[in-house]
This record gives sequence, structure tokens and C-alpha cells, in this order.
Amino acid sequence: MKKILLSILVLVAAVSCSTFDKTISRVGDSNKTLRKHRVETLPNGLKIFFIEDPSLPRLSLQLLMPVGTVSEPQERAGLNAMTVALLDQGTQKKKALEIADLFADSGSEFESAAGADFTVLSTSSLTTEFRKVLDLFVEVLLSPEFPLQEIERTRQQVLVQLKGRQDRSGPWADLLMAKNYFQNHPYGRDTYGTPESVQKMNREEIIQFFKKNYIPNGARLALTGRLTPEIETEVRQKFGQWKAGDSNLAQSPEFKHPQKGGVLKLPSPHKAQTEIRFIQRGVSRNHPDFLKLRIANEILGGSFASRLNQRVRDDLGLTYSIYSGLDPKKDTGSWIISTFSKNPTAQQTVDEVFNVLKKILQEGVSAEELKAAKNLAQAQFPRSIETADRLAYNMMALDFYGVPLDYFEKFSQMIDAITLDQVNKTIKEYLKPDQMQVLVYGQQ
Amino acid sequence: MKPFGSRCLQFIAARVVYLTFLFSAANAQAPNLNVNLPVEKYTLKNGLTVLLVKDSTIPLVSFHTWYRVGSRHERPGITGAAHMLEHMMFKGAKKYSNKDFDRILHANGITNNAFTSYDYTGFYETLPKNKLELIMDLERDRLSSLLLKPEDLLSEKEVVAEERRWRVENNPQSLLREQAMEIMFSGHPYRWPVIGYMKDINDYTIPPLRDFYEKYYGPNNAVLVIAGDINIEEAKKLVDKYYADLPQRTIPEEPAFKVKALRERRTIKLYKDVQVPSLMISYQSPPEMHPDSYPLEVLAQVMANGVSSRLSKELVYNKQWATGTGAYQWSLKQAGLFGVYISLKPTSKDDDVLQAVDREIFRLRHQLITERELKRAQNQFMTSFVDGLATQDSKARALAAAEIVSGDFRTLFSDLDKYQKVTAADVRRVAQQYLDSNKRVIAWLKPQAQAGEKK
Repeated sequence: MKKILLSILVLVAAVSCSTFDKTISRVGDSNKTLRKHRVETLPNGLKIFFIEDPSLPRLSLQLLMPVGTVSEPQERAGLNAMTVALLDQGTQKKKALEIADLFADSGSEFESAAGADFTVLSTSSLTTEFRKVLDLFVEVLLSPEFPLQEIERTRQQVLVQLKGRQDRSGPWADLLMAKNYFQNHPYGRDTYGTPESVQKMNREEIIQFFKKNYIPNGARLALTGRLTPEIETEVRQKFGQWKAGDSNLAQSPEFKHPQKGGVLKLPSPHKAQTEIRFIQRGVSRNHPDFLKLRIANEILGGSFASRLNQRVRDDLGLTYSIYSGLDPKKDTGSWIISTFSKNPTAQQTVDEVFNVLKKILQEGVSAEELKAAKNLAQAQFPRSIETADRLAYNMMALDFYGVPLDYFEKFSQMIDAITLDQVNKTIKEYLKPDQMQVLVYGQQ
Repeated sequence: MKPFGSRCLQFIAARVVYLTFLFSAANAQAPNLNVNLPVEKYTLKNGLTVLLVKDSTIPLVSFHTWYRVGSRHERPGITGAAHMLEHMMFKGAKKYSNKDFDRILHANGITNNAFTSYDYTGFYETLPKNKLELIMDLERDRLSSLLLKPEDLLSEKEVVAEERRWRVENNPQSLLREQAMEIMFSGHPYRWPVIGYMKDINDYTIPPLRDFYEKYYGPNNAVLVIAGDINIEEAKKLVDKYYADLPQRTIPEEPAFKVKALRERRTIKLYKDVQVPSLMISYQSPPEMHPDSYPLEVLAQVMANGVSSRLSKELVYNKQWATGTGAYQWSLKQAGLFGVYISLKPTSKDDDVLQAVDREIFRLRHQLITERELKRAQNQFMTSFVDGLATQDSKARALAAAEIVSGDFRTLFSDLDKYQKVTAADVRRVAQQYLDSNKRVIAWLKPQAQAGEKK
């Protein structure tokens, strides 16, 4: 069964939230907060994170592959998502429904989330069922067959899903915004591609893509839960059979952020509400300004107490939801504001957002606002590492993005070190209302 | 209504319940699964139910306050009042104003939110462990002296209207659901949506909201769950300090509404601005805690949940008429609904799809599900139960829900046992009893472009 991993959200939380209660753990006693974990690299290059959580009788596997839409040729947009969707649709020994039944027998499922920079494959089960689930997971990963009839079946499914994208206004507006901003860059793409590109994919291309990209060197695996030495050994053995490949993988093309702002109005006569998005330049996840921007964003639109929410929702009643957020990627990133309003007040909402942006640029943020934002970031940080699964996901993702793993221990310190002057400088340097691309999608 | 003087706290019943559950695994040889969740439950003299759970995994606390009031307690004309009141609970009380509330939470590293359902309303915060007293002061303030100012209602009505547009008017699935529920729960307050109708949202005034607040927001109508890095004794002292002197409310007796039994097959076709059609079939079914609700959940699982379910195999995989299937036994306090949901391909034929669904239902009504299907469903329940205890917040949520629904949080665990005891014969029996093709609502969502076509 395919579903977007919840942990994607966790990463956002991890990155937006922050560290340890000061009374409990500072750098010195991080072990108290951070679960026991070990990192090993197998001879084939696979990096394994072992993270213990003995509290519940479960085990889980998450595999982060450095493969995404950035790995696809433009004219085969969606090739990665298609490849991933086909993994559990037949192996050398088992047919699609047999695999589905076996995962389900164990109360489990094979999950996948194909993204822009990376793809996560995962499964979990009760400890008693885990050996079976592990075997299946490895079989699906190492010997998928990509049968022709499953390719056709999946292709038809994907085509319908692409067609239905616009049935949900919010997610559709997100896609329209990305497409409008990133244009032909892979970050502007629907993970599943376009009807044209999906129509064109053939079995040979899928197999080639899989062989080239789904290799252990460069991949990260996490085994989490009620670990035993036997299970760890078995995981090492099973994944040790995975053959290394040429690790010279496709790199994300460079993206030049637009220097000029603009408003794109897309009329949709039947909509009862207008979706509104703002997007501008942000930074990559490992950029030195990332945390400063996080804090700035927190004050701008990161919570109920934020400036955008207090003004646009609380004072004016223009929307039910407004927030801003950073969307950091491997080599660059964006800064987004997302909201909606009834059709007649859409323009007013756009204007009010710009007013809030102007005000924060002119006045800067106050010491009190900074203190609150830092407190919140530090106080809520433990939630992003509360479960072994979340910690594992966040460790793998940060490692992928090139953020040193002492991040988890140093987070609180790094936040402490941010000064009012730095945040206000960061806001001035990055926040560019005149360079924002605005999307207005609804009745006009 | 603010607390006056301090009355001595007395427990009606103070007891500690330590629960250690040994699950017998699917495989008899397998070692038992062991989950330990120590819960301390007691009730204050004023009727407030308190559940305390120590979990020091992280230095935070999940603080849940749930009230036994929901849209079920509304009446036509003020639909959505429970939800509107939930919003107004953030707009200031005697000690902490609206802006104070958000600002203080934020400055103290606390996140918060709330929800409203048919039967209950919940407020929750995630706080650093040293902020427990602050949060109790804030919660006590809005539980005992909410301001409910007309000017706040004015802007918050706009917010809720936007919420309704976002959830319903601009979301055709919800519109369809709203129409189906009106028939399914005819005669009962469950027939209207929790968020309320737009006209009522526009018409709210303070008096009915205040009336609602005064009737239902009392300590004796609430369940408090505190799960996290707490010291149990200190937490108890704080609960005592902040809640013990709050006066009880006289909770009004509820009129005995009964859902009108569906005696026919009804079809709804909604043509909207969508590209992909869908189908929702609903049957009336028993409420929460009813013994039949357990086999019905197994039935839902076997029938349509996951890629190995029957309808998914038939409609998504074999026939390729659909892109996804699902089913659920939706148990509310006073009534239930068994629903089947199918996301269709635009090329599918209504009659073909319905016949295929009915063939599966016929089999479920006349043949036993296999031992493998039964075991699979039971394993799925057990896995999701364990997964549901992963965080402080999910523990608090699960306990609050169980306590408020049944009056005893231990049903969270005994329910698991009930799923394990369901037999194939039980599943066939409930399929026969509840999935009657002549008593159901068949609701189609279709692309506007097909409005002129025959079915």
C-alpha cells in the first residue's frame, strides 16, 4: 500500500521545532534525551542506523534512497515514482497480490514516499512478525520483476491520480505554485510526472532507472525498535547481499531564483474559496543561515501567535489558516506563505499579507518576539526525536542534506547563539516581497 | 463562576491501575508481547476525572482536557455551536485575554490546539515539563470564566465560515457526505455536520453559546489526561490546587433522540467540479461499545481496507475500475454507520461497480471469511494499537477517548481482546444483520460534465 509517510511532516517539525528543556539536558548529557543509537557502514556502502526503543514490541525499517525527481530526465518526469510504485508489484518469486497478502498477514504493509531529493521505503511490524516482514522487504527491494501487466495497471492508476489532482484545491494550488516558480526544474514537478511522460515510460527504462539508482552505496537504512543482536545480524546479512553500483548519480540541475515578483491569477469558476500562495527564495537545509531563517519564519508565520496569524486570521477573520514555512532542499530552497479566503476577500488577503511583510521588514522583530520564538523552538524540539522512528528519519534526512549529526546535541546551543541583530539582518537579507511569486487560485 | 475560596480536595475514589498486557501473538510459539502502560485514575469531589501517565522519554508533557459535549447536544438553528464555542475558548477569559493566551503559550514553548466531534470536544497542549502549573492556570481560567465577547464572536464567525468553506463548500466529498448523513441519521442530532450549516454560523449570537458553555463546561463533564515527564504526586497537588474548588455544573438531561430506521434504498448523485468520481455506500449500524461493533470492524477490514482486501483486489486490481477502496465501522455514542468508500476511474460504469460490490457483500453474508483473513485483520488491529501508543500525545489521546466514550479507560485494552475473540461466524452474522441492500444510502460524486448523461 502506498502512502505518504507521516515522517515527512516530522522532518518539517524537526527542523522548525527545536531542543531540550534546559533543566534536563544540555550538550553534556544528551544521552539522556537521545536514544541509544549506532551507525555502521556495510562493505557495500550502505549506512545503517540502529536505534533502540525497547518500550513497545515493534520493529521498523526505513530506507532513505538519494533518488528523487531530480534523478529523472525531464521527458521522463515521474519515472522514480513509477519505479517505486512497481517494487512490490512482483518479484522473481512472487506476484503482486501474494506480496500484498503476506505483508497484510503480518499486520504490516510496504510503504513508499517518492520525493524531490530522496525517496523513503519503509515497513514495520510487531516483533513477532518482523522476520517475515524483513524477508519480504529485502525481496521487494533486491529482486523486483517489473512485470509488463503491472506496469500497465500502475500506469493507468497513476494517470487517473494525476487527473484527480485538481479535485483538491489546496494540494493542487501547492503544485501550481511550485510549477509556476520552479518552471522546468524538477522541484516544479508533480512527483508522478505528467500524463505525457507517464504514457511514454517503458519497462526497459524503468529497469535501467532502478538498476542505476537503487544501489546501497549512498543509501541510508534505519532499524529501530526493540532490537536484539540476532535481528541486527540478520539485517546486516540480508542487506549485505545488495550489490554496490556506480555511485555517480544524477545531480540536481542548478536553479536560478527569479529576481522579479509577480501575481498569477488562475480563475476557477466553481470554487467556493480562493487558495493563495506566496513563494520566494529560501536556503538549502545545510545553509549556515538556515536556523536564523527558521526563527525569523517562526515569528512571521510559524504559529498561532505569529504576526501573519494574529493579523490575517485573528484580527481580520479573513481565513481559517495562514502559515509561512521554509521548504529546504539539497542545493537551494524556498520560503512559502500559504492561506485561503472566500472569493470576495482574496485580494484583501493578499494585500494584508504584504502589509505584514512590509511591517516586519521596516520594524524588524522585537527582543520579546525573538525570545518567544527561541523558547518554542527549543522546548518543542524533543518531539521530533520522541520515537525511534522519528529520530531515525530525521538523522537520515539531515545526514543526506549534509548537516552534521551533532545537530541533535547542539541544537539548543545553536538557537541560544542567535542574536536579535542576526535575525533582523537575516530578515532584511532574505525577505523580498517584491520578488515573491503570488498564486491566486479561485473565482476571480 | 470563578472559584471561590479553597475547598479541601477529596477523592471520591483514588486508585492506581497498573496495566500490563500480555498479548498472545499470532504464532503460539512466539514470545508474548509485553506493553506496560501505568495509568493512575481518580475523580475529584466535583466530578473531574483525572488520568495521569508517567512517560519520561522526552522532557515534555501532553495535557488533554476533553468535555463530554459535541454537536449531538445542539438543536436545529444553532448547529455548529459546540464547535463555535471551541473556537471562542481561545478568545479570552477573565485572567488571560485572547492575545495573552496565544502569546503566553508561545513565549513558554507550548503548542496547542483543539477539536470538536459529535460527542465530545477536546483541548490539548504540549508543554515543557516545568510549565504544568501555567497550563492549569490557563485551562482553569477558560473553564471557569470565559469572556465570550460579542466583538470577538464577530471576527471568529468569519474564521469559522472560512473553515466551513475550506472543509465543505470547497470540498465536494464533504458536501456529499453531508447529504448522506442527513438521511442516515434522520431524527437524530447526528444528522447535521459538526461544523454546522453556513446559515447558523452566520447567525450565532452570544446567548446560546453562553448557555452551552454554562451547561456543559463543568469539571464533572470533563476528563483531564496528563501524560509525560511528570511527578505523579506533584501533578496531583497541582490538579488539586487548580481544579478542586471549581463548582460542579448541573448537566442537563438529554432528550432521547432515536435515529429513524432506514427502510429503503436511497441514491444521491452529486455533480460537481471534480475529475474523478467516487462512491460512498452507508448502512446503519450499532453505536460504540455495542458487541456487534467489533465484528463489523473486522468485516470492514476484510472487505475493503488495504491492497489485500477483497474489494481492492476485485475493483482496483482485477477489474481496474477503481483506484482505491475503504470501509469503516464508525461508532458514535448513540448510533453507528457502516460505510464503504470507493475512488473510481472516470471510465467505470456505475452498475458494474455496484454489482461487484454487491457480489462481495453477498459472499460475506453467506460464506465464512477465511481463517487467514480473520487472523490478518486481527494482526492489523494489534499492530495499529501498539503503533498508537508511540508518543506521549498519542497515549493521552487514546486514553482520553476511551475514558470519555466508555467511562473506563481500560476499554482501550479490553477492546483489543474483543477483536481477538471475533470469529468468522460473527462476521457473517453482522454482515447479514447490517448490510441489507434494501436499507442503505448510495451516494455518487460525479464530474459536472456528466450531469447531462444517463447513468
